Amino acid sequence: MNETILKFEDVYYAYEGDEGETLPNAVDGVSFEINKGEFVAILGHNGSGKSTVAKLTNAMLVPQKGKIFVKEYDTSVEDNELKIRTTVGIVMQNPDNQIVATIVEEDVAFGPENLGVPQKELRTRVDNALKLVGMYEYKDYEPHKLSGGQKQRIAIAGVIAMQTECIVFDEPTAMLDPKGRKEVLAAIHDLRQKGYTIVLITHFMEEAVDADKIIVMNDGKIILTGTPKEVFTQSDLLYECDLAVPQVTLLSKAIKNNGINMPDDILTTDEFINAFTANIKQKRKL
Amino acid sequence: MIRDITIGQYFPTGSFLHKLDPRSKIILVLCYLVLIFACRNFFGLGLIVTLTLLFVAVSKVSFKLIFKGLKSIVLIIIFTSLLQLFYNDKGDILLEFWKIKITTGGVFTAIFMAVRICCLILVSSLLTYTTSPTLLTDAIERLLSPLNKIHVPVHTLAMMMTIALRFIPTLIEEIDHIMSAQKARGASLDTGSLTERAKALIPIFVPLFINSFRRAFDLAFAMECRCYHGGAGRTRLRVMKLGYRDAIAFAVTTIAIVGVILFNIFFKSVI
Ligand SMILES: Nc1ncnc2c1ncn2[C@@H]1O[C@H](COP(=O)(O)OP(=O)(O)OP(=O)(O)O)[C@@H](O)[C@H]1O
Ligand SMILES: [Mg+2]
Repeated sequence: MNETILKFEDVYYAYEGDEGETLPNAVDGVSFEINKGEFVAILGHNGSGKSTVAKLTNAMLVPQKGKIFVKEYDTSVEDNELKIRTTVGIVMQNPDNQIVATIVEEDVAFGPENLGVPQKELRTRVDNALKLVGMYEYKDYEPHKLSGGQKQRIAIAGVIAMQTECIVFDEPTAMLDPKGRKEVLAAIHDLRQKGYTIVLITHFMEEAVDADKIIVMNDGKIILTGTPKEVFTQSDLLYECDLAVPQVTLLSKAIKNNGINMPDDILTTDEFINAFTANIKQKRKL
Repeated sequence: MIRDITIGQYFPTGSFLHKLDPRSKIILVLCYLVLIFACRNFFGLGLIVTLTLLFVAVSKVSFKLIFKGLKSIVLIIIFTSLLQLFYNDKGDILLEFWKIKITTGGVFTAIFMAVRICCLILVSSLLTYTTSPTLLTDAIERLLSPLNKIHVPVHTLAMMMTIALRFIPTLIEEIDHIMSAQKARGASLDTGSLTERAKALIPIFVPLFINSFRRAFDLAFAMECRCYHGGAGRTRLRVMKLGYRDAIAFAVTTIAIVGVILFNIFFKSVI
């Protein structure tokens, strides 16, 4: 039942320097599998190779060693390129630099136009994609008149219109204000409900707490994988990799160190409140 | 201040002109441009002015916006008209003092010049006001597609134009940001001698260029992710189909052409 949609098998990738010399491996022996419908977060500090992983997922880069499979397609085979890019789409960090056309709906149509989708179907695909991200009313707008969050949702619609099954988000909220962040995350969660496979690369631990799986990268290597609870309880290891555990988790840990009974795996404010009030009520009874 | 430029902008009002096929709009605008310079007397000019105002009214773009666009070239109009006024010595003398001689010929040419330039600007800016830039480049691409046969990369050129149009507002915004940032660091952009001011622009354009290259790489990446591989096998969201509106527009233009030719034949030309 669990169909694998993305599979890295011991992947190595090193960029070439300006003088043609090989730089240290940006991705250094990475293996993982992502199943259809999963929501996977990839965490790591600056330069840990997250974006490189993203570019490897849809054959924009091809590994120097190891294999990557999108469904059954090997990304190192050139003929698979089209199949791969219509299965895995990427949404990048900068909302301004990934919108091609001067009108919203035409930008959303850009991908399927390249695929040679007939006009009638183009129309329905574009309309559906825009509705899915809640931007249908803006279809005639010029992109530069939209907010960052709206532009990012347009970029998402552009990927959806290609009928991809898996979307890789490379720090999609890093350049947005809190409102834009909320909008984009809501759109991502909607997609998750609709059955899309989602890979969310992020700096913000809070965005990863409800993932099915978290992959933590450091210097091109995976140092930790597991459910959010499994990962965030390793706060010391995360700290070594310059990653901050969600603040509530740190808070409950500090409280616990002061001798108050708190569970180790608190990730959200709600969990914290529940555990804490339960604690207080218990004390009152005693 | 850079944001005030309206020439080249698009105002979607959904009017008759907006619904014309962009290809016919381009051809018709070219016809009118020729016509504006072909007319040689006030009857023809009157016809053209009437039509131009009619188009402005039909476009439903607010008069204020349209005349704001004209304002930026008022100086040019005044200058060329004055030049005509003083240098043309055909016709009867109206006024003569010192070395200056104003003749009827001069007055007429000056009026013609001013009206022509206004009409020229109005008609061509109506084209961009009523057509989205993408449609415009699309139409140009389709009109020029015969050139593909002699290996002119029409699609590539059109795509370059679209991207340029897409990024102009983004870059303008960026210039604004960089200027504010440099001003905040004490740069003064509007004082000092000309060379000093020119020098002050360097710290604005260097980051602009660097950022533009980054943007270009990003955009190329995004385009490739979305399977862009040139014009071959591409379909289009918008279909271009000639309709009854285009027939009406062509009819009006034909009447205008015939009218101007007849006026030219039957009335004396004044310039
Ligand atoms: N085009 C390139 N040429 C050379 N080196 C590169 C290139 N892109 C990335 N690198 C290097 O590869 C390593 C991994 O970079 P990558 O962009 O994948 O990191 P990242 O985790 O996405 O970082 P960030 O959080 O800053 O986005 C870094 O050391 C970086 O300097
Ligand atoms: Mg990155």
